[in-house]
Amino acid sequence: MSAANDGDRAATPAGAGALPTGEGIRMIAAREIRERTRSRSFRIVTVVLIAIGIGAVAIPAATSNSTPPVMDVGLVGSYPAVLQRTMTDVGGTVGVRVRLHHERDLSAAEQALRNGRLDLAVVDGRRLLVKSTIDQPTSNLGRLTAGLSRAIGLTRALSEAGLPPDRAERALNAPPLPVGTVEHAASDLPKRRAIAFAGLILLYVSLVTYGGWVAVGVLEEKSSRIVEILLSAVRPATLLAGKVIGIGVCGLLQFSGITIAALLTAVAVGNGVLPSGSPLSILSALMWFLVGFAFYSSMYAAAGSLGSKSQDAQAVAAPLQVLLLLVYLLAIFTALSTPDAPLIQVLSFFPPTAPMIMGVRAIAGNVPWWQIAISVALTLAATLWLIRLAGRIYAHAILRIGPRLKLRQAWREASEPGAASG
Amino acid sequence: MLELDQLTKRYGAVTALDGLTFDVAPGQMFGFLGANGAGKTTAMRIVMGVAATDGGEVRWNGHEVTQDDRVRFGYMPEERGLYPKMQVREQLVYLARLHGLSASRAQANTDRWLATFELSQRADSKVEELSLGNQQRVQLAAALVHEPDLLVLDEAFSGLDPIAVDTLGKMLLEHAGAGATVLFSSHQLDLVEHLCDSVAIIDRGRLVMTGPLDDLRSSGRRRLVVELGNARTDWADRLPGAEVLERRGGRVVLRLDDDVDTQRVLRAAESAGTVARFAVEQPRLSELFLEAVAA
Repeated sequence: MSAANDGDRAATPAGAGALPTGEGIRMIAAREIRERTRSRSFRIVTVVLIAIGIGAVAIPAATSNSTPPVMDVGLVGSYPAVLQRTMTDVGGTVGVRVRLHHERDLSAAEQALRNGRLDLAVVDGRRLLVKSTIDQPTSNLGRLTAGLSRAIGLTRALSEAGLPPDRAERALNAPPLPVGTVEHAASDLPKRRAIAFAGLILLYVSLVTYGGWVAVGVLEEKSSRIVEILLSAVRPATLLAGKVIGIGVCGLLQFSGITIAALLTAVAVGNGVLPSGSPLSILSALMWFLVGFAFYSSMYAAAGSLGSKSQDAQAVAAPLQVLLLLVYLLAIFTALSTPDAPLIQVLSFFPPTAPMIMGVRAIAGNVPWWQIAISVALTLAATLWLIRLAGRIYAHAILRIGPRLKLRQAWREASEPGAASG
Repeated sequence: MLELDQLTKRYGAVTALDGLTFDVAPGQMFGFLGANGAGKTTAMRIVMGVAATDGGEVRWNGHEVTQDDRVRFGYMPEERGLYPKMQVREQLVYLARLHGLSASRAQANTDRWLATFELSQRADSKVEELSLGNQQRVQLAAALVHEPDLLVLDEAFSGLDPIAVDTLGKMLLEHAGAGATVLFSSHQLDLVEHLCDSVAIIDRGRLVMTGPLDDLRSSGRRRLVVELGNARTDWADRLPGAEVLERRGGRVVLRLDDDVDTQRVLRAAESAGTVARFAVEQPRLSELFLEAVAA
């Protein structure tokens, strides 16, 4: 059989054989992708999803107070530019934006402090002045006051020690030491949970949606009877694989569309929105989508093949929709809050629950990489087994004319000797 | 050569095929006849590999038929089947390519069949937007587009208007003339008689009769058409070995046993009046069919 790229066969009408399996799968998947991406509904949904992705990141960023508060600092006396820059920099290190104002004299500064035009005044480089006693040292004013006091004092001390002003400034602005943590920073956890939650919703919706597409697509081919024409040309496994891969690619396009839109928006609105390691989380979500889709899609295909009319789609897919919903709820209500509970740990290795549960644990919990690898491997192994099983039901049921089949009946018939589709 | 050998198929308690055996010679137009439920569709589905047998086998050119053979078969299922939302041209090109044609050849064949069926204007329409008659033509084009060696058409002519029936009939004859084998089922027996070289008639999953149409007709009992000038037909009632099939005015159609002497019948007619017409004919396919299925 020639590797029919652009079909070397057919130079002579007779004598050539069936398409190579890979070529058949490619053509069936390509048709699936072409027809689906061309449909209006697909395009509308994609645009809506991307808009949601952008909105989910941009709206919280726009509404949250991400600009630092401004503090007005009055200067009495004259200060070298280097020292003024140091004072502004101190504001940055304590999280406020410092605006410097030159005051005529001490009384003008006192007046301004009283009426609130100034938050703080520096008098002749020797003392600081505020309106009233600072009760909370951790308030913005408290931290700024402490920071300025130390910086100005140090500057003077360094200059008295004979250091030129520019070197004194460099000494004061020495880069801070990196700070490591023995646990995930507590402040990071809510963000990582939020990301795990968003990823979980996306994963659940995708599996249900694209799984549904597989069931409906299979049933469409069965009920329109085109499957009889297709299966006189290609094997059931080829048709099944092409369909699942085609829909998987469409799903991946939408899934990546929404995540990439969200990521680009996060980059555009600036840091602080996403915790560190977000790109990894997104890659992990994409991977779990692929693994989960591989696991569930063959079951959806088998379910679809049990139907008879296109109206049966809901009914035949219902058990799978319920199963996914249960896993989703379990992931939301337990895995998200207690990612390292024993039951959750076990379920994160159990193939039907692994994509969602391990997906959550990997982002919100502390999971070593090798556990993730084992979970993926187990799920993929189960998928291979499932594809054989579901493929057998599909191959039998897809050509079965008559009323809707029960799963048990289809399995029994498919297991009978001689029931192999010819 | 297509051979169906001892095919059996049961659906639960129902026996659809019961040792069905017949051959279809290459290049033949072959009519496959039987009452509803006789097993025609089941047999055709087994030939196309979309149903499994419980016993027996289908052979093509001497060996058991394989997937590689089947891509050289064209099939039109009884229940039809196309993607309703896919464009006509794309659909035909896709099906041709799935059957192993190159992209360019698939395109060329599609355009040729669309032109033959006068569908070129609708090439970019979705199938569901076409009239039922035009959908039927697309369905036929789908069976023909990959230049099959064997065409299996289940009730190909049902739902077509007389002009389309005529066009399709001519095309199938042309196709068979070019060396392809055409196996088709139909209830339109006059059409089958007009088009076919050979037929097989089945009943309750079993072969009743098969062979070249001319042989079957000449081996069947003769028909005798007699018309008298007056309107009498009672003269025919008491003739031994002759069965009255029709009578209208002075016209009588008789079916004669093999040993009946036509001259004796002529004398009996003349005794009743002036004979205006006296003609011996071969049996019609419809008579053979009814006789075979009633037996």
